[in-house]
Amino acid sequence: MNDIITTHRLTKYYGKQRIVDTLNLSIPEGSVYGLLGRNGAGKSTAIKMLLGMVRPDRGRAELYGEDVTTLRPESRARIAYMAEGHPLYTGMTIKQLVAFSAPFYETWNQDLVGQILDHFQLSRKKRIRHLSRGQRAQVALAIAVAPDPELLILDDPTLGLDTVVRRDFLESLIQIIQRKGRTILFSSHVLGDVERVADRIGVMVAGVLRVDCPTEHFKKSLRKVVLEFTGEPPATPSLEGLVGARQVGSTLEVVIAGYNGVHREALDGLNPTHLEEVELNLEDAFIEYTRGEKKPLPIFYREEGE
Amino acid sequence: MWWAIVRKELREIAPIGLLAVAVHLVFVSGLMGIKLVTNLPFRGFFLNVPQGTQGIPFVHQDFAWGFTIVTIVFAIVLAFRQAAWEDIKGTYLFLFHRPMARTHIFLAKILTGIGFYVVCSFVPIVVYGWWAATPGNHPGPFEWSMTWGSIRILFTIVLLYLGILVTYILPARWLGTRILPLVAVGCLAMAIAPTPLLWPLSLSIIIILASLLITTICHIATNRDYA
Repeated sequence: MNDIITTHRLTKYYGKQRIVDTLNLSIPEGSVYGLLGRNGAGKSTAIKMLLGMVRPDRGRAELYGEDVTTLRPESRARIAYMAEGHPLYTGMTIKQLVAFSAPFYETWNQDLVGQILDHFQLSRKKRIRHLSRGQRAQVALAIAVAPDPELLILDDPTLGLDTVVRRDFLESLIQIIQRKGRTILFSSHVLGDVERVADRIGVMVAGVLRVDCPTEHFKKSLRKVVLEFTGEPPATPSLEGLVGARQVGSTLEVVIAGYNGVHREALDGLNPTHLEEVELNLEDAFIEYTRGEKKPLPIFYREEGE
Repeated sequence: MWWAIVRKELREIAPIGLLAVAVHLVFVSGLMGIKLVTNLPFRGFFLNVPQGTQGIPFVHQDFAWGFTIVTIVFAIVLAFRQAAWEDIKGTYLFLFHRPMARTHIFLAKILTGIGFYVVCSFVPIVVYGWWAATPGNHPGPFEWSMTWGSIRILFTIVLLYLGILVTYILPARWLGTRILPLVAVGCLAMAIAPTPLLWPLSLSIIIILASLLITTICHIATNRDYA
């Protein structure tokens, strides 16, 4: 499968702080890629570099094999972008915003815009400034998909939306995805959203892409092991792939990436009274993986079957 | 695509232009001896306007000072609305993702801004000139060529407008670096505006400087970050 998005050692500094650090990313055609990370992890900056809104200090990014810093308007027309917070012209009505956007695209589908606006029950006469945050997201989605883009890049599209609106928004997004084999890259804080939509994830920690694999692979790679002791738990042994360890009373919780027999043997060697292996959902896996600031994190880049 | 940008810009800057024209007209009405402003805010500014022209229209400084002040403020607000406002609201991210070269988008913005500024700023010159040209309104002589001085001010302030645009879009961290282009343009404008150069020469200088500034703006707009 062709890679639609590729980055090569993409790096960005703001002042002396490295916001995105040597990002190497390849997103194949037709995949739905969820980019995760805590606040300030560099997700938005990475996305802005992908779209040529921010210039990298080092490295390069390509969309459809074209350097994004010199992306031709015809190529840009194939890409939809929803920026974080849905910045739209607040003085315009929805109708005016649609009328403003349409002339830029040869493939503009006015019927589709109408369908989406009707689905969300949005009056065309309403000014953007009078819309709720959720309604703005819906308008932004309608405008983003109207030109029938092949690639959608969505920067935290559900940020600030309440649960119901978020669910409705995501279901519309899923319908749009299912309609054609589009490639989607989206960043999010809401792990449930990512789990529902993405077939592949990347996790950025302090500007570095630490995870790049199928969603299921990530969940299976991380295992929490709960060990119970009669008294004070012993010190955590040095284990390859150790993500974190936490002591709660007489219980020791250990999170390990790439858990295997060697790990089990080492933990058995601590002589716990009880040992339980717990599978993590995406949210727990993400929290365990990104918790803490300075711990050395294992990197698993290459996944099986690709 | 160009028209879409032009329409958007006009929609956004129309209220500013209408306000500027209104202020101009209130000022000019004072010169024409029509009292409109006794209860308006800032009436001190307007009440200082001689009620009725004290000399020859456009030649004596009864028109030029008020026209210059209002036009400069108009240029500052106009440039702010066109450049800084999009930055503050984050709408550059929306605008620059439209499939059109960033240079062309900014060129459409600038040309719309200049055109709109020129049209709005011509209104008081035309109204006051028309009044001055009508026999019986004032005792002095009048020729339309007497308006050249004001027209020169009008076009010189185009440079100031462009300088302000540069200041707003320049991603400089220090205030000094940011306002340096504006200071440079301001000095040039002050040198050009009152200098009684031949009109074609003044206009040529303005056009050359404006072209340089527009090129600079397009270069900055294309290469800066929109974080």
